[in-house]
Amino acid sequence: MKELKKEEAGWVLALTWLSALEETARDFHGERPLSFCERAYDHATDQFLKTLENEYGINAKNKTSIRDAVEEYIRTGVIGGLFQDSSQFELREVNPNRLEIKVHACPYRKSCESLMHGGLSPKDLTCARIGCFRSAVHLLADIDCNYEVTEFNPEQGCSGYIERR
Amino acid sequence: MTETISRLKKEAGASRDWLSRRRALIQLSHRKEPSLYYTFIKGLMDPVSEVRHAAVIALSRLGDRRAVEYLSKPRFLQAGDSNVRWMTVRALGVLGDVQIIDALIPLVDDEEWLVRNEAVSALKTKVEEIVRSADPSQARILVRMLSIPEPGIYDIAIEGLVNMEASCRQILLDSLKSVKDVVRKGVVQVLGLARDKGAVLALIRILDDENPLVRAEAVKALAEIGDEQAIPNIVNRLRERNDLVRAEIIKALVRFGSRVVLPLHSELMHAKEKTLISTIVLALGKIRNPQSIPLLIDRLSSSFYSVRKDAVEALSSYGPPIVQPLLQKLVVNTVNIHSILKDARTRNGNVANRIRAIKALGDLEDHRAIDLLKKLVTDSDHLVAVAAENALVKVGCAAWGRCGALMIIGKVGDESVVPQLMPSLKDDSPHVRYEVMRALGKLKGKQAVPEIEKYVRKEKVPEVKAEALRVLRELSPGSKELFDLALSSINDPSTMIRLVATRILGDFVDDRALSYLFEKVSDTSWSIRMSAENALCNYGVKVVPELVKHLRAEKVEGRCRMISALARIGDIQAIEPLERFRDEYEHKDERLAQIARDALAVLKGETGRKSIQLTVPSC
Repeated sequence: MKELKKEEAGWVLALTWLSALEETARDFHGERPLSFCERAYDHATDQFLKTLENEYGINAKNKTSIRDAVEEYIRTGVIGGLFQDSSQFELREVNPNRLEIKVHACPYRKSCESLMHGGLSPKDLTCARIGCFRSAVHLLADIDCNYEVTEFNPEQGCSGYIERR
Repeated sequence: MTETISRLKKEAGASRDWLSRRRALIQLSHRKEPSLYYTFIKGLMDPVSEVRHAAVIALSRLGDRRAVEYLSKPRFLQAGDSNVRWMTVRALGVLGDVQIIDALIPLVDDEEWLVRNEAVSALKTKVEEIVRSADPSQARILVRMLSIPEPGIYDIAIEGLVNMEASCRQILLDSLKSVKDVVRKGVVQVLGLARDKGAVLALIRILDDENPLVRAEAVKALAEIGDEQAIPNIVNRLRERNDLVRAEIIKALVRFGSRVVLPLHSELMHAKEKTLISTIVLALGKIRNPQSIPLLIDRLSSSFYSVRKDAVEALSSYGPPIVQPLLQKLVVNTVNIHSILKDARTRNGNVANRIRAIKALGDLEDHRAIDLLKKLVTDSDHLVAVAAENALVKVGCAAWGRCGALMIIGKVGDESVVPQLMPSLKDDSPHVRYEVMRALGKLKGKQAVPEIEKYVRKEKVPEVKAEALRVLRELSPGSKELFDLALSSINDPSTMIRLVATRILGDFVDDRALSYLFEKVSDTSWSIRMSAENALCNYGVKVVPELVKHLRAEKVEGRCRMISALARIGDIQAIEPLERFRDEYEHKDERLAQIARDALAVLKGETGRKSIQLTVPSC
């Protein structure tokens, strides 16, 4: 048994709620929880950016491309304490309409891990992290995108892409 | 002979050259002369480590156990020279009794692998001695070894204790009270590996241990022993939250096999908590007793996704024989429910009657009642609203049950089952219809094609219709009906339907589809524009003049895709019109000019690539 550090407790609570949200999405929407989760990530990202703007004066600037929007979100997220630093992510712009993302040391991996153990494929994961990037692109660049996880690898980083709809 | 020994003894003790002293000690070590003991002990005090090394070797060869007192000192066991440590460990392994184990244990972590290996092998020898002696008092030494955080030692101790378990059971049972988790875990492991039925009660008690590793090991041990009196106790542990222990419980239940089926059924019938239900479902799925099938099929309709998923996994493990029982699950109520719906809806009627009607709709699990029930959830009468909500859960979960059944049939069934799936195309739930489509696709049910073709025209839910088109694309490529269906769906308001229709038309390369495809390159959806471009590329050179003509399409996105298509088709006839286009847009629209430049580079072979899909931001 080990005692929880105070700074960890917030993350544990956030992850608990995230897992609960995703599980409930599957309780009600079965194998296709994506549209429910996408909406939840939209609200979460919107709320996060608004809180940073209104309560902390951290401003996320509007952008015109998928890559720029994700980079801006990462920049804001680092300032806002959501991400450790930008090296947690590798971005590769396949073309202006498709951005491949690799996420290292994702804090949400445990939530995905338990779903993968349950027999889901990476494609079935709703991935809160890339899902929120998709939402950020929607909010900051007004580009509506699809996203998908292509590889689940908690050790070397999970991969996925965001693609214009 | 004596003279030689005397000379060597003198040389070993008095030579100024350390090499001579070492050589003398080594030569003397072959003599096995008891009187040499003190010469060798003196060698241990030599200032040069190579000489001390030789003295240790000599003492080991001499076999005089008195040397243990000297060799077990830190000066040798922790000597700076790894060779001295190595030989000391070897000597102690030969000369020492089992008490030397305590001195050898730290050497298992030595930085030098030779020393570590020697220590492990010396300890193994000592453990074998203990086992041979079958002396229970020495078993305590092995129990103590369990707390050493070194897998090699731990395994040796376990092996030793298992071999002498019968003679030291009481020591082991006493050690279950150890404060060290690892000791309790190890002892439990020993009792399990020894398959000691006399330890069952003690193991049952330790199922309550605070440490999950100990609990998991206890479950494993009880399964290993296989005594039936453990079954109710393991079944009682099904609420375990720790994943590791839970996995061991499932494995244990599976090992008990059909003997646990009845207790599990009884537990499952009363279980409400999802983790508990999932554990039982997974265990029953692995046991695969036919009696469990109805209960598992019921769990396909759980309100918990995780339970439904586990039930699908469990039932899939039964293989093809599960298909027939599942088909019964797909049968839905077709009787007229108009009067019940009316009773449930009537506001000026008796509330009790309304509630009774709503409950009946729930019990019928009839999906046709969904729209009404959704409305009634917000009814001003609280009791009606609650009843409607409960009925909605029943109807909704029943639909999930049919979905699960279809998933399993798609996984384990074969084409012969296809006709029996067709009635489900009329299911009121779009989720069920979607799963029928997926199942038909997986079963490669070509005989269902005419039915699906008729069905596509009627389907209103875009997700289901798109899936049906995808299945048809796979099952009947090239059919006239599919072409017509794609044409009639190409302007559907739903993006996903337009996308599938565009891809289908791309497969046909039929001139009748060209005008539609030219329209789709300017679609609002990027995926459809790309698919339309791919489709046009399938036509090859013959479509180039049309593409050139459409270069002045209304929408920028469409022009981008057509330029890209021209580059990919690779017909040099396109160079001149593209150059004109580039010059015209050079100052009007940089994005279009850029993509035209890129296309020209491809067509002129300046990029080294024969074909490339081109894109610029927002195209």
